[in-house]
Amino acid sequence: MASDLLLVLVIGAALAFDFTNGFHDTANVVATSISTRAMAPRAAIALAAILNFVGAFLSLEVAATIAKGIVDSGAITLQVVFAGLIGAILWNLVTWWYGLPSSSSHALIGGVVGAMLVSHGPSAIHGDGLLGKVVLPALVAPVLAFVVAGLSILLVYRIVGRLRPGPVTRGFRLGQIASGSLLALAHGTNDAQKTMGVITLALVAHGSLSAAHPDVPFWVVVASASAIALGTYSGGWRIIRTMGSKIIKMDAAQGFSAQGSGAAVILAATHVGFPLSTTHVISGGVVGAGAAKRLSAVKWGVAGNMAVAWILTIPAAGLTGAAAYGISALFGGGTLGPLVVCLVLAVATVALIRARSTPAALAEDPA
Amino acid sequence: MSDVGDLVEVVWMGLLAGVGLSVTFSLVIAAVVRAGTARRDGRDGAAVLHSAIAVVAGLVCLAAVAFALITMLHK
Repeated sequence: MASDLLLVLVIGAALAFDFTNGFHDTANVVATSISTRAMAPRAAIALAAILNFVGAFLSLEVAATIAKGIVDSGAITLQVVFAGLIGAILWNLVTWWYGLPSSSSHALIGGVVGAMLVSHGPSAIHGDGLLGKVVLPALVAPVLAFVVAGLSILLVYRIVGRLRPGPVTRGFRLGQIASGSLLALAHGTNDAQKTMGVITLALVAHGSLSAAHPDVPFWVVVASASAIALGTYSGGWRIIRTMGSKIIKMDAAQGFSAQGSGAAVILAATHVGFPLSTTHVISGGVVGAGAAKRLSAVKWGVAGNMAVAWILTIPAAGLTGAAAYGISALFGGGTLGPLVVCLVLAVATVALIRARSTPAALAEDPA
Repeated sequence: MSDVGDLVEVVWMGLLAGVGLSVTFSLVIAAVVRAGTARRDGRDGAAVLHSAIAVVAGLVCLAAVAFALITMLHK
């Protein structure tokens, strides 16, 4: 049975991941709406935060195992989950710093896979599950969204192209508010449940919940909903700027085609039971809506950086998760290892902040 | 391999839903704008026709939203 302190550390890391998930993915919901002035930035983010909070209460059906079918579920320990969360949080922070939209779900899976590789070896990883549930959808999502948004905007321009632009723009802006709201609800429903699953798993391992009937406690739902909503409200502005204006300069019709058709693709995929990453779909949709109008309208360098970040997500979060587990394992299988990892992260954060706040002249002169 | 079967289903459903929603919503906008213009020009028949198209397309969009909410609740 895990100690109380380890339980607190895992719950804290899970809520911290939930928070980074919220502010990292705000851009998926609000970037196009802000860019086309469908909503004022603060209002868009406030609405997204509220709907993420509400979405977390809509369904608890998938608040279960993490990385199900990708790693050997029976071998997952709290130390592995903790290390996986650390890997995912760090990758979310790195990609946020560079303003790159990347999948938080893939970061979590990568972190857990990395920690599992160190703890149990390659036999604990289901290669076909990784291929079918992660790699294949990651390839399909942006390409499908690119094609759908591209086709959509070509047809939309044919339908409304000769009409007065004023009412048409207002109409598409309204459509963006509706599609953004649906995306925010879906995001809250999907992503807050990952955190609920992690905390529920920790409570079962601690012995606070029955393993036979691990119902998600209400406080876990409220805490997860609050963390993702607060993260969303804090707004990942760097990523919002990338998705909203650095890839293409979009008009309201393009914004709606990217976001509306993206929302439709995501929910259609959810209906089939083959969930796609919101980040990959919306980013692919934005590029598609721009490229269909004019290939040169897309800043391909920015799109290329995003693609590189997507490719690196699993390996980079995996390496960090593996390192976190490795450090943790050096101090035994109990609570001390995760505590040391927290200490290392705290020292690294303070050192980074001090280095950034040191004036350049002082930093250059060692004397 | 069931993943490939699911993938094919996702591709065609995604195409249908994504393109369908965008086209239907732009039909709503186009029909509303044309209905307004027809009313101002005194072409009552055209105004009624465009209003009817707007209502039908709008109902299809609302049905899509309802379907999305049901999908979220039951997944």
